[in-house]
Amino acid sequence: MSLFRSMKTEKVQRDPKTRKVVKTREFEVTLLGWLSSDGLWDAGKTDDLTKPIYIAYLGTEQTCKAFTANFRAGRKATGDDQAFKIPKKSPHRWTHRREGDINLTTAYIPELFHLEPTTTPERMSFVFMPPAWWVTAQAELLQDDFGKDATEAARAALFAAYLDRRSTLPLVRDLRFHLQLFRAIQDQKLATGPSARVSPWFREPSDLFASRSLVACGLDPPLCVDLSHDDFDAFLTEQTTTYFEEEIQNGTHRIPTNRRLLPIPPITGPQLCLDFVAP
Amino acid sequence: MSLPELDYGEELHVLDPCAGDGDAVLGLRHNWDTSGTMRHKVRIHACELEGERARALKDRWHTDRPLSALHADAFHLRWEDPADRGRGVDVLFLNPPYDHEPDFGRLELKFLDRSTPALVPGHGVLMFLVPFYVLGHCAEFLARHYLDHRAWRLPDEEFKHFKQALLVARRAPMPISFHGPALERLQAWADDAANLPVLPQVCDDPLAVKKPDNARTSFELQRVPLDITAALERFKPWDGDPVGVDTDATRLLGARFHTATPPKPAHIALALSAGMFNGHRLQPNDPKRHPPILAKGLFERELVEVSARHNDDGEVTATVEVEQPRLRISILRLDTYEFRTLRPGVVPTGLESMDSWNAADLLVHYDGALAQLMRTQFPPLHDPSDPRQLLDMPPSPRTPFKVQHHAISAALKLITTGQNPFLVAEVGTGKSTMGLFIALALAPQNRDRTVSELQRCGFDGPLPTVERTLILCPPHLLTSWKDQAKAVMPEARVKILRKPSDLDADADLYILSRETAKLGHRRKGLEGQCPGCGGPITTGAKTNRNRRLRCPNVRRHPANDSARFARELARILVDVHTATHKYGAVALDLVDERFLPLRSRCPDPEAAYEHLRQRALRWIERHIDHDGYWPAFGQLVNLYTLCAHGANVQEQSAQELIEVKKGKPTSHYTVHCCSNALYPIRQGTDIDAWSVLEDLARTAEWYDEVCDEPLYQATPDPRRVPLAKVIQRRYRQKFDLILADEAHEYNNMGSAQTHALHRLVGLPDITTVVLTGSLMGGYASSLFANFQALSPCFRKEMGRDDLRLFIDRYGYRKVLLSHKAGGNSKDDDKPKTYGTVTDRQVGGIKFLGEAPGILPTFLMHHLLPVSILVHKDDLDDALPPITEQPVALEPDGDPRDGEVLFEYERLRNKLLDVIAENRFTSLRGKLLGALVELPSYLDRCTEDQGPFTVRYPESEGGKLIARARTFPSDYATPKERWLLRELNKRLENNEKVIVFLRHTGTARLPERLLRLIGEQVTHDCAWLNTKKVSTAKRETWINKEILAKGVKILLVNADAVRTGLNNLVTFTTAIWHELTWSATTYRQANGRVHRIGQTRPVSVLVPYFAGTAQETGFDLVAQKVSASLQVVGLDMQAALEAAGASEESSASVATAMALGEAVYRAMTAEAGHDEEVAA
Repeated sequence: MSLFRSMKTEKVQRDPKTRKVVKTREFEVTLLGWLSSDGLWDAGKTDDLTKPIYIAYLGTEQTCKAFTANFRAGRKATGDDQAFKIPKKSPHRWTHRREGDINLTTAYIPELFHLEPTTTPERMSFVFMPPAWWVTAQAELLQDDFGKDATEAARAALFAAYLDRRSTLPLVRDLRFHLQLFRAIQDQKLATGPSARVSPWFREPSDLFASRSLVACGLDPPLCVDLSHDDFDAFLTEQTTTYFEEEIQNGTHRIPTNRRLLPIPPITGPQLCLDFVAP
Repeated sequence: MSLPELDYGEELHVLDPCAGDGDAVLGLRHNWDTSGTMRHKVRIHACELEGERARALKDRWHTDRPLSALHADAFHLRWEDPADRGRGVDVLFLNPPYDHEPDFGRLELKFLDRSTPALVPGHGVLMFLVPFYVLGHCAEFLARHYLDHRAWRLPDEEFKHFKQALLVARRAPMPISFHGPALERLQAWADDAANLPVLPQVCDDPLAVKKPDNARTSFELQRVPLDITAALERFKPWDGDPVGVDTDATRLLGARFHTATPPKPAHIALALSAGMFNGHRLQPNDPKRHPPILAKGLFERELVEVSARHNDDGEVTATVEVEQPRLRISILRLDTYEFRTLRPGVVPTGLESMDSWNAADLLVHYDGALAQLMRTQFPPLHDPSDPRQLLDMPPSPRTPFKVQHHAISAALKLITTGQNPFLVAEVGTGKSTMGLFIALALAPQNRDRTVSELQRCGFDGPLPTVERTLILCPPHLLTSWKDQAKAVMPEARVKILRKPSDLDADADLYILSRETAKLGHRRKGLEGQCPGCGGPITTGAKTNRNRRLRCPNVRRHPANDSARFARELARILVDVHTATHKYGAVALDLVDERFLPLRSRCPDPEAAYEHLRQRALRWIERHIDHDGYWPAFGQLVNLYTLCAHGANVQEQSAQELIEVKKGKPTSHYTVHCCSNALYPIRQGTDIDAWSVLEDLARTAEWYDEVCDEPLYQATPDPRRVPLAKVIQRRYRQKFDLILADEAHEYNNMGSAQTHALHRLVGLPDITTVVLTGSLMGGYASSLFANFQALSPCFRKEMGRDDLRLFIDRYGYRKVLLSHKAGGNSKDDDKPKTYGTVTDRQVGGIKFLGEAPGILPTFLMHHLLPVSILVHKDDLDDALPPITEQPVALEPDGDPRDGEVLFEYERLRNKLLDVIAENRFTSLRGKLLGALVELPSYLDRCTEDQGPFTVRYPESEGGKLIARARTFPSDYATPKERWLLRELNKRLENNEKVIVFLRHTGTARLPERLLRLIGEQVTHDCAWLNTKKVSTAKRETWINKEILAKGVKILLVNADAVRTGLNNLVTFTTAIWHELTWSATTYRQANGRVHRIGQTRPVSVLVPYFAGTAQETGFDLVAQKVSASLQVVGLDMQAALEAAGASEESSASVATAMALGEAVYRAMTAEAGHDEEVAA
C-alpha cells in the first residue's frame, strides 16, 4: 500500500445560489503529508473536516494548478480516509515548486512556521518541523563538538532561534545551552509532538495531528509549542540559572578566546579591587 | 473541412486533448458524416483532466465508438512521433483553457506547442478555437508551423461571451523560415476581430483533409505515469522558505545583516529594537561600574486611543485607535544571571542602579559595545573609514566631494551585486552629480577602469556597460539636469525627450519628464444619454471623466426566444399612437430605452422603420442559417412583412406561433403545425400582431445586466503619447541605466507616474538608480511601491498586491474598535454575537487606514542593504551651519492686535460650535479643512486681502458659517511688523532673504507684502508668481529677474521651489511667513538655501502667533520632521522615539492624527470644549 494517498477536490455540479448546473471541478493530486492543530489558529467553525496548518501534495502542473485553485477557494478535498478544507480567507501561504514535470505545492500558515513572526505574538506559538536535509548537513558540521548529540544539537539550534524570535527575554548564545533548552522543554512537556488520538471524536483543539507520510517527505517529526510568555519566562529563567551554575561548576568544554575558564568574571567588591594600590 | 475517401481498413484519427465530455469533437464528427457511412472510419482520441467530465467522456464509448478516452493531463501523454515513422493524427481539435501562463505567455500557446507534434506533417489539419486576441500570442508559432491559415469569428451571439475565433490550418511539412506575410495576417486578425469574417454555416472552399500515406496504421495515445519517488528524492522541504534553514546552526542567533554603507549611530536604537543584537554579550563602557549583559529589544505595537464615538445617550460606541510602537528592552545580567526589563524613556535617568534604568541609560552606558556590535553585525559593502575602498573616479571637470565620492563608490558596488541602489541624499548634497558620476563610471570609455577598481576592492560581479542613460525627473528639472550633465559629462550628447521621434535621436543622456512619460491623450466625460444603453446619465461630465465612471444603468436582456421576438416585434409596432393602444403599455415596456429617443429623433421615420425591419430580418435569417430551418422564424418573417405593410395577422396563426415558441423548435410536430400556420398567411389572411405581442410578452423571460459602458471617451487633442509605454513597447533594449530623480514622488501604487516608472524599471537588463531626498512620506505604504519595483529581496517577501500585508507587517494601522452595545468597556475586542438564533455580529475591529511610521525591522532588513544615506553633516567643511529658530509672537503695542486675536477667537468658537453640532450628522468631519485654514486669518485679516469667510466645502454646498471682520489696509499685523524688522536687520548684515508663503493662489497677500516691504524696507523685492512662470522656466526666471537684478528679498510659495532649483544659494535666510503642513516640503524648501554652493551660515525663522492654532500647527510639523529624520538615522532621540522608547504617547498620537483632527483636539482643549473629536 502506498504511503501517499490521492486527494480530490469535491465535484460541484450545482451552484448553491442559482442552483444552475455548472462545470464540475474534480481534480486529483497525490497527498504527501499534512499537519493540523485547530487550537493554534482560528480555524473557523468546528466540523469533521481537517483544516491543515501544513499540507503538501504533488501532481502534474495542470492538475496542481486546477486543484489548488479550487482548494484555495475553500472547496473541500477528499482523501481516502479524511476530508480537508482550507477556509477561503485563511492566512495560508501557498508555495509551488517544480521538480521535473511534477509540481509540488505546499500550503502552510507562515505565522506558525516562519522563523520570524510578523509581530510580537501574544503567546509563544509555533510548530517546529525542520527538514531532514538541513539537520543532516548541520549535524555533520557539529560532529566534532557534539559527537553523537550532533543531530539533536542542530535541531536545538534552530529550535532556540524560534524561541529567541518570540521571547521577550534574551537567550544565551551557546549551542550547549540551546541543547539543554531543547531537551528540557520536551521533558517538561512544554513542547509536544503529534497526538496519538486519531479519532476526530476524541480530539482536543490544542492537539497536533500529523500524517505518517510527513517523515517520508523529508521532514523531522513536528514539535508544537504553545506557551504564554509568563510560563516561558519562568522556564527560561530556571534554565539559564541551571546553565550558568553548571558552567561555573564544570567550566566550559573549550577555553574561550579571553583565556578565562569561567565564562563571566564575577564583579569584585570595591574593598577587594586593590585599585588603591598605586602602580 | 472535407474528408478524403477512405478505402476499407483505412482510418482517420482526430485528437482532442481538452475534450471535456466530448460534445464538441463528437459533434464535429457527426457534422462531417451526415450520411453515417464514414463514422466508423473517423477514430476520436480524447483526453480530459477533470474527473467528472472524463468519466462522462469515457461513458460515451458505448454510443460513440470508435472513441478512445483518457482521464489525464494533456501534457503527460505519449504517442509515437509521426516524424519518426509513427502514425500521427489527421485532425487536431484544440479548444484549450483560456488563461495566462508564465513561460509561454498564454496557456493556449503551450497547448498548441505540445499538441502540434501529434499532427501528421504536411497532412494534418488544426482546428484551433480560442479568443481572437490569443491568435496574436500564437501568431509566430502558427506562421512557422502551419500553412493555409483561415480564421473566422463565431457568430455574434456566441462571440460576445468569450470573443472566440476558429482558426483552421494545415501543419507544414517542416518549420517555415520565411513566414512574414502569414504572420502579418495573423497579427491583423488578432488586433481587431472586425478583420475576421463571421463563421458561415457552410464554407465555400473547405480545407481538405488529405489521406495520409500510412492510413492503415493505428495511432495510440498513452498516459505518462508520474515518477513520485524520483520527485521526492529531489524535493527539499522548506528550501527557500524563511524558516531559518538558509543559515548555519551556529549563526542562527545574532545573525549578520549586510548593509550598503555603515548604519548611522542613531540606527543603534532601531537595530536594538529589531532584535539585531540578540544573544550578543555587551561589555559596559566602565566595567568597574556595570556588568556585562545580554540585551534584547522587542518591538511591540500597542493601540492608543485617538478619538471616541458616542451614541445619543453619550455612551462610547467605538474608539478610533492607532498603533504606536513600544520598545521593550530586557537584559540578562551576566554577573547575577538575573533578567531585568528596562523602563521606557528617551532621556537618560543618570541613576546608577540598573533597576531604575531606561532604554536611554542602556545606550549611554553600553554605547561602546553597541557601536562595536553595529560594525560587526552590519558589515557594510562600502566602508568610508577605509580609504582603500574608495574607487578611482573617471575624469570629469567636476570633482565630487568626499562624501559624494563614497556614495558613488557604494552605488557601483551595489550594482555589481545585482541591486538597484537607493541614493537617499539629503536635499542639497548633490544627488544629480552623484547620479551622473555613476553613469559616467559605467560609460563604455570608463567601464574597464571601473571594473578593475571594483575588482581591486573584491567585487567581481557583472557590471553593465551604459551607453545610453535615461533620466526621469519632474518637468521643471529638465533644464537643470541638462546643465548638470554639461558640468559633469561635457562631452555627452543630451536629448530631452518630448515626443516619440526623439527616441530615435542618437544621444548618451536622454532626459524624460515624468509628465511626458505618463500622459497620453485627454479624455472627456459624457453627459445626457449613455451611448451603450441609452439610459440617462445622472452624473456630470467632469465627474465622469475624473472618476472614470461607467454606466450604472441596468439593461434588460431577453433570456428566451419569446423575449427576443417580443422585443423585435415591439420595436416594429411601437409608434406615436402606441400609448393609447390596448397593448401599448406592453410594447413600450418591451422596447429598450435607447430605441425610443432614436426613433423620435429620426428625421425619416419610414426609412428608420424599414431599416429596423431589415435588421430584424437579417437577425432571423442568421438564426435560420445557424440552427437549420425553423418554421417559426419563417412565420415571424411573414409577420414582420405584413406588419410593415400595415396588414393585420389572423389570431389563429398567431396563437399557433405562440405554441411554436413553447414547443421544441425542431420537432416534426412543430414543423407540421407551422406549415399549417403559414398557409393562411400566404393567402393574405390577417393576424392581430398586437395580440401576438401580448402573448409573446407573457411567455418571455428576461435577465438584467448592468450596462457598464464607460462614461468617458478619448479626445485626439492634444495628440500625446505616454513615452514610458512607447519605450516599453518599441525601445526595450535602448537604455542601460535609469536615474529616477525625486523617486519619492512615485510612491503611490495607483498613480500614473508610478506606473510609468515601473514600466521603465521593469525593462530587461536595466539598472535603476533611485535618487531622492526624503524617501518616506511618513506612512509605511509610501515605501511599498518603489521597493516592490526595485528591490529583488523585497519582492521575495512581498508580492505586487501585498500592500495590505506590508502595512500589517511593517506599518502602523488606524482601526475602529467597536464596543459592545450598552457598555463602555473595550476589553473584549471580539465581535458580539446575538446567540444561536441569528448569525448577526456587532463590534470587533475594523481597519480604517494607516498611521504614520515604519517598523525598524523594515529599515534593517530592506532599507539599509540597498540604500546609501548621505547627510549634509557628512559634507563636513563643505557646508556652513544652519540654525532653525521658532519665533513666538505676542501683541506688541497696537490696540488692534488684541482686536485681531479677539476676532480670531470668535471665529474659532463659532466654528467649533458648528463642528460639535455636526457630530452626528452627515456633515461630520467636513469642516476640519476649514479649521486648518482658520489660523491663516491672522495673516490675512486686512481689507486689501478681501473678505475672510468660513464656509463648508464646495462639495457640501459651500454654505457660509462666519464672515470675519477685516482691518484697514494700513494696519500691519504683529507678524508683519516682526517680518519688516527682521528684513531690515538682515539687509543691514548684507543677507538676502527668501520669504515662504502658502496663500499665493491670488496675488493679494504677496502684493500686500511687496507693498509693505517696498515702503518700509527696500524696493529690491520680487514675487515668483507661479501662474506666470511655468515650472520649466523657474530657474531661468530666477537667474534673470532675481540674481541679475540684485533682488534682495524673494517672496515665493514653498511648493514652487522645493525641488530642483540650485540657484537660490545666494539667499542666506529663509522666513516661513506661512508655514507649510508638509514635513517633506519644509525640509526640501530649506534645502534650496542650505545646499552645496552655500558659503554663509543659513538661518531658518518660523514666526507664529503664540497660543493660537498656528503654534499647534508648528508643533505638528516639527513632530513630522522628527519622524522623517529617524528613517535616515539623523537624530538619536528621534530614533529612540521612533522605536517606541518614549514614555509619552501624546506626541506620537498627535502625529498620527490628521492635521484637522489634531488642530481640533488642541483647540477644544484650549477652548474648554468637550473632548469630542470629529473623526
